[in-house]
Amino acid sequence: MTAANQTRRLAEGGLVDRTRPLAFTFNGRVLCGYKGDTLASALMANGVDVVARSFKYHRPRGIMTDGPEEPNAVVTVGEGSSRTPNLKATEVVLHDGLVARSQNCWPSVDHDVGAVTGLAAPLLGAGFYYKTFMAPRGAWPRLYERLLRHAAGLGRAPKGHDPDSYEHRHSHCDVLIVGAGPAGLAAARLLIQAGLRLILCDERSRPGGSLNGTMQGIDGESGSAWAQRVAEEIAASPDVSVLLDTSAVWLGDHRLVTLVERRRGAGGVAERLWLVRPRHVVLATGAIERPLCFPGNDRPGIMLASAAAAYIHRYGVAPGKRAVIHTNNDSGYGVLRHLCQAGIDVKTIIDTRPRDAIGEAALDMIRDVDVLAGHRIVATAGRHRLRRINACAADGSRRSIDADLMCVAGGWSPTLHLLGHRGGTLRHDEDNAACGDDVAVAGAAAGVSGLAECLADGARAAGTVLQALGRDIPEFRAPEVDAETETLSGSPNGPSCSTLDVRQQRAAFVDLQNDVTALDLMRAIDEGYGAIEHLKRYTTSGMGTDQGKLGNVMTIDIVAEATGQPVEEVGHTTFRPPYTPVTLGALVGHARDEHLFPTRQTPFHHRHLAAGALMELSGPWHYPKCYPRDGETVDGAIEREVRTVRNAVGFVDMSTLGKFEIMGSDAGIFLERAYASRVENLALGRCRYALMLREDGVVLDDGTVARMAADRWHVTASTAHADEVWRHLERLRQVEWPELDVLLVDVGEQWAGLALAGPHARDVLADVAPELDVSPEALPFLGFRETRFDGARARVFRISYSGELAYEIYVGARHGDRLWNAVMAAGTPFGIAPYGVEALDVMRIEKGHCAGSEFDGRTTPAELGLGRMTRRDTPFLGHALGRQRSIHQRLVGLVSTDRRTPIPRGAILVAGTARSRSLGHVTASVVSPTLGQPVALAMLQGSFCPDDGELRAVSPVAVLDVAVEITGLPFYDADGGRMRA
Amino acid sequence: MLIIPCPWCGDRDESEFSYGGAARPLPSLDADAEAWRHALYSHDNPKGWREELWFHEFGCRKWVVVRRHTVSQEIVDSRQPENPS
Repeated sequence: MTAANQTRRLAEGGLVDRTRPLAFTFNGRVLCGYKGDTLASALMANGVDVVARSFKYHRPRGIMTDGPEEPNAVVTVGEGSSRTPNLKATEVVLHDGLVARSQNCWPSVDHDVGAVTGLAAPLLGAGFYYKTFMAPRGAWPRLYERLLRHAAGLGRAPKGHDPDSYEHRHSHCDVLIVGAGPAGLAAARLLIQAGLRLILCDERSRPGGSLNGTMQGIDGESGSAWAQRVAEEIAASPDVSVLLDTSAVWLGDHRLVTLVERRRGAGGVAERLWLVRPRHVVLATGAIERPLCFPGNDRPGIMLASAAAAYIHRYGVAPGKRAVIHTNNDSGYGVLRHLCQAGIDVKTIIDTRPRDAIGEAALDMIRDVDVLAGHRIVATAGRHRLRRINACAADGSRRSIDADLMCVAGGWSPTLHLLGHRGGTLRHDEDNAACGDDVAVAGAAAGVSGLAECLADGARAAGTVLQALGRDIPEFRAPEVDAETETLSGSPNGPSCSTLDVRQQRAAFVDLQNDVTALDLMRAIDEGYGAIEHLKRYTTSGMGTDQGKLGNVMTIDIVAEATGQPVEEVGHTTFRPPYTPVTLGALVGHARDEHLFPTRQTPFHHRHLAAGALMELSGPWHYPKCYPRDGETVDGAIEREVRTVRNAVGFVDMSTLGKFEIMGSDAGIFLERAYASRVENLALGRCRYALMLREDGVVLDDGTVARMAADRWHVTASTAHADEVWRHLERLRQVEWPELDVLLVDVGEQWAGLALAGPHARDVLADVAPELDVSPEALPFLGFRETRFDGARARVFRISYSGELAYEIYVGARHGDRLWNAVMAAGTPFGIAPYGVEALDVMRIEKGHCAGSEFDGRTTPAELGLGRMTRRDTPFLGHALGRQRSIHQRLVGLVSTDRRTPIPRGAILVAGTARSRSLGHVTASVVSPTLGQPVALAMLQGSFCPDDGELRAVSPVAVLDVAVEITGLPFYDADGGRMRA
Repeated sequence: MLIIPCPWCGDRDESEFSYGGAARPLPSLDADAEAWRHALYSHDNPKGWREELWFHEFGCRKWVVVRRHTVSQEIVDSRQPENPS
């Protein structure tokens, strides 16, 4: 591992820091690069030609670009759990100790067994998944899918816990400038003079954009030095952030721009996601050079002309020894000078245009170079790297040229992906007016060519922003561009994909990452997939991790040529965010593990923990599942808790219920409209179980309504629906019936509640609330009293969910601990024990009470057997449509026929054989400790009649099939004598 | 992500709000099923401006009426819900 192994590193030049060597490994080989390298440039410097294998045919692929448009050099970086697959080597900033591997090859990238699929290429054309693997159908999951997934891999996701940390940062500014190239820097300079708050971001580690690859001089210094100096000047201004290695990946609604800052190797967070809300956006995103479509255009050694120049000047790496330039426009001639400066031998330029179409300036640049005008490439050769090129003239005469580097220059496409995120279609001649008045496009992204012109255009864009903000526009002092070093610009005026025969089409790649060839496109068009969006989906062209940044333009050209439509009519596929792939880590940020989403604790949380509760998350709530004692299983604990309640007394945390106070002179009318049950006639000191329906007559929630005073009510909502019920009630109050004098207060967090349940509940309550007359006469079933607990206000409801004699006691949330202690102390003589959500569920199933799994947003009161709880005389919300609903299903109780086999949860009900039509589903199932047998609740279709055959509960997931019988509900204490005791 | 102007709190992020659909008053409770069916299921799907309800759940907990352009996502103003009658 020494710098000497960098065989392709030029003796001098480049913007890398040669005093800072960095060691890294690629496919297990230890290599060396410099600070300032990307993984791609370091690999190139070390003479690595084949970086990856292609997706479908496993063809050897090298580095083609110097940016996010890279289709080929896709690698996995990192090891173990911090491994990140599918990174473009051109985007990975080299750091010391970096570990990278090729993907999609076995046993190695140089000797890949999968390459034999290339021999089967005729079978693997467009839509081959659909056509080839049609039958037999059963073979899909077992055979085809495994085969395909093994053969066509895009890296493997790491399995363990990602050890890296990520963060999100929110920011605001006056103007966000995307791109620190000439146009972006010029715009930033002007905006700073006006004193605006600015964020300037660039996806590369160095400001300057194209200046770093072209070495054009500005103001008497090199372009990259100028850019560096100006960026430092900008960064030193007040209220300005310059973010490098930061890609703008999404321009969202109302100018929410998402940036991803890559900091891996820099210490601290690995990646930072910025959510920036600027008042204005300037897109100075530059342009991406277009490739050309010809047979064998995917061989390592074939790269974009601009990329070749960038490797020479930015990284001091010679991308080859003997080069050929292939172009369809004048800009290709500009790269000649760069190649010569690096000592690369250029003998030939293959231009698709006839000689008279070539510009004078371009021809002036050539010395001792053979220009093959009007030629196209018919084949390339070379196993792991380009070796020879065969070109053909219009008259059929052929030339063979030896070369290990081909610089392809197909013209430039403005990088307008971010603008595309706003929707709509970009047109060839898109003018700035169409971007909206909060986004300005500047420089090459706006179709401007030439350095001086791009600088001026940046200033112009800044001017439009200042104008929109009503600020004065400072005078723009145009930097002086060194005319000697000016590059050639040129729009393509020759064909980008020459007419090819079928054999040539097969080897002419359009989407290099997904191995889509010109032939695939032609076949798909023949099969009727000529519309650009259809073509994309059928052929997968443009669906790789590069999102077709290179291939899409070729695709459009080929469709235009094949269908005879103008390019504008072919259009383009939708640009969707992100602009370049974003890791899940960056998107997730801190929101993982216990920070995945905000969770809630009840006032009794620490008492649950101290009592040995097994806690689980129920929605946002930390809630006890059960309280296993030493040596007790979970099932054993649940069973014991149920028996304790049924035989003695237990208590359960009720604090998670939604609790609302409803007051005002019209509160009764409001509730009467909102609930389907009769509530207005409720006497003081009484409560009632009530149903609330949606507008369409389906049950929204159930709860209790208690009357505290003539104009004051306390209502509860189930834990799961508390927020929804609150939104619903507030909407009714604020939007639908604002004329009612009513006020809602959410008191859910004010009260800590425990339900006491069991034959001894009254004894415990009498001890806990000595001021309260707990006799059945004074506090009957469905009674409500306000009392005092240890000096604090308390509310007691005689409500039963378990089916036993039960009371709910509520005290102020801060008195929760004392209430728990008092209940425990009073209950100990009776063997009291807390119970969790599982025992609660067991007992409600035994009692046949409906809960969330029955109130599933599809069931009506009549179907749930709750029809008697809805009023018939006066209208309520959900009344008009609810009464028109037919009864499709009904709630039934089930027991297994053998009285032993548990009924699978979520099972489908069928009559006769397991393959029959579904007749409903099991909503809740449990082995009842009280009854000593499995019982279940189910929604059964009204069309079922016992003559259809034996009813079976079938679970394809658990592979269970249980014969069941329908029984009446409830399973336990049918006359309700226990809860009324 | 939209910025929604709340008449009570000013410009706030969309993440503070819950969406409530098109702002159109419900029929009266004694209206017939046809009126309710029409109100619930026969919705316009305008390409352009429309008024819709948003609940400022993680803010002032008020329902507000917002005028939003369904294509450009522009929001021009917002107001308190009025009495529908």
